[in-house]
Amino acid sequence: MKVIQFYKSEAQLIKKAAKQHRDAQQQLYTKYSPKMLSVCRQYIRDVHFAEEAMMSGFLKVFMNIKNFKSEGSFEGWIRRIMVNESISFLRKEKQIFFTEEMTSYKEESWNNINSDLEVEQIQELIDSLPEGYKMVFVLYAVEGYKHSEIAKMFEISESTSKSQLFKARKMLQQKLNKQNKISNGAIEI
Amino acid sequence: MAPLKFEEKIKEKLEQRAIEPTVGSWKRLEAQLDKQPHARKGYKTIWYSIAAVFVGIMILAFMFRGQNSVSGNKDTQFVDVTNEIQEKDNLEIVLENDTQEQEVKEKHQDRLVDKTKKDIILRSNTKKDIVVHNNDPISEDDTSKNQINTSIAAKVKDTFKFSPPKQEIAKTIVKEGELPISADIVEDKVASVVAQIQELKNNNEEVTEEEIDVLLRNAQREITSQEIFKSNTVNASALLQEVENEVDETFKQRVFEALKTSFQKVKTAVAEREN
Repeated sequence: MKVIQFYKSEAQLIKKAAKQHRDAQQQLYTKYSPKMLSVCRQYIRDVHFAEEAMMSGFLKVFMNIKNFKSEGSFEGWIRRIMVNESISFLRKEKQIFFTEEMTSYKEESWNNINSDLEVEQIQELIDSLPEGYKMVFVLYAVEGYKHSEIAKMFEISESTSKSQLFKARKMLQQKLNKQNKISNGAIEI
Repeated sequence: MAPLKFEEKIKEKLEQRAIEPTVGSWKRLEAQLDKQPHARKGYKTIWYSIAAVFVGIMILAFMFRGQNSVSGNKDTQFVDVTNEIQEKDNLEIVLENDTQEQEVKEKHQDRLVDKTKKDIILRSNTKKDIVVHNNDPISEDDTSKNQINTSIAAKVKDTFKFSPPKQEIAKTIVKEGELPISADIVEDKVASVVAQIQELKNNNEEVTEEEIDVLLRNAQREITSQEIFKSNTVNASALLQEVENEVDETFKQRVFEALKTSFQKVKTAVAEREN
């Protein structure tokens, strides 16, 4: 039977993990892996691939943990690594496309949109977006990245990032309105 | 509902979400971590290896230094000992030669005086007597010559005995430093020197010490050079020996000069006594 030592503070845990103590690393993994898998899942539709990306992210975390400066939060640092790993995974799979076509959207109201969606429903809506739209939307709306950062990350212009976000929002609005109409029993002609 | 509000709701819900990874995911990660070369450990090993190499170099340097100092001491001792021994040997040999030569020269001087006396007596006698007496001095002269020759030969041999003590010393100090002067060559040279002296005597009636010395030196040099050529290999110790001989030449010369002056003194003293 393996005895795992529990460390009191996270700083102590990080120090031990930096010294390649497996028990400390395991504790950090157990603590953060569910959240980080959720992060990876936002970008990668297949949960198994998402887990693969997460594992690769954790490997980088533990190999570079000595470079972590306790200026920011450890969770935020891991989260950034996970986002980068997910994006590089998708890049390897060549799944990211940034379409420039401007389709006309009808101006619809956000007022009748049901905000009490389950997280699975939200994930489904995000998954339904084209990869380019999805990336920019999640990075901007959920992770809080700036357009300049997104543009640098994908080597695109800031205006492209902005247009991608605009289109993503429009598409989501349309989809949510459609869902509302179905749930309210209204038939679209 | 504004889009920003909707996005905030999405963000909130997604941040709260947690997806449990598959069972055994940690084991897989642990296996991957074990495969990775740990940077910290790597640096440690590099530093340890650098330190080990440095320590090794230091030890080797100390050992090498120690050896050098020991060998250096040996060298100086070697040089000092040989010089002392060689100088002592030369002195002894010179002393021996001095006594021998003095004895020989005294005998020779006596005989020369006897010979002149007999010659004067014989001149006053008859032809027959003269013939008879002419034979006598010749025979006497021959015997004296022979005696002189033997004494010269002894001297020559003595001079050639200069090298053996050196060789013995060289044997004891330098393991392979033996000078291979064979007995045949020495004998031949002795015979040739004696013959040359005889020839000179026949031509000039008297052979000076200078001439004998020159002949002996030449013979010595020839012997050493012959030995070097015979061996087909350049023997370092033989060359060294030759150089030492040359170096000692001045010392020898001084000794011979001293002998010469003493001989002259004895000669004049004997002549004065006779008169």
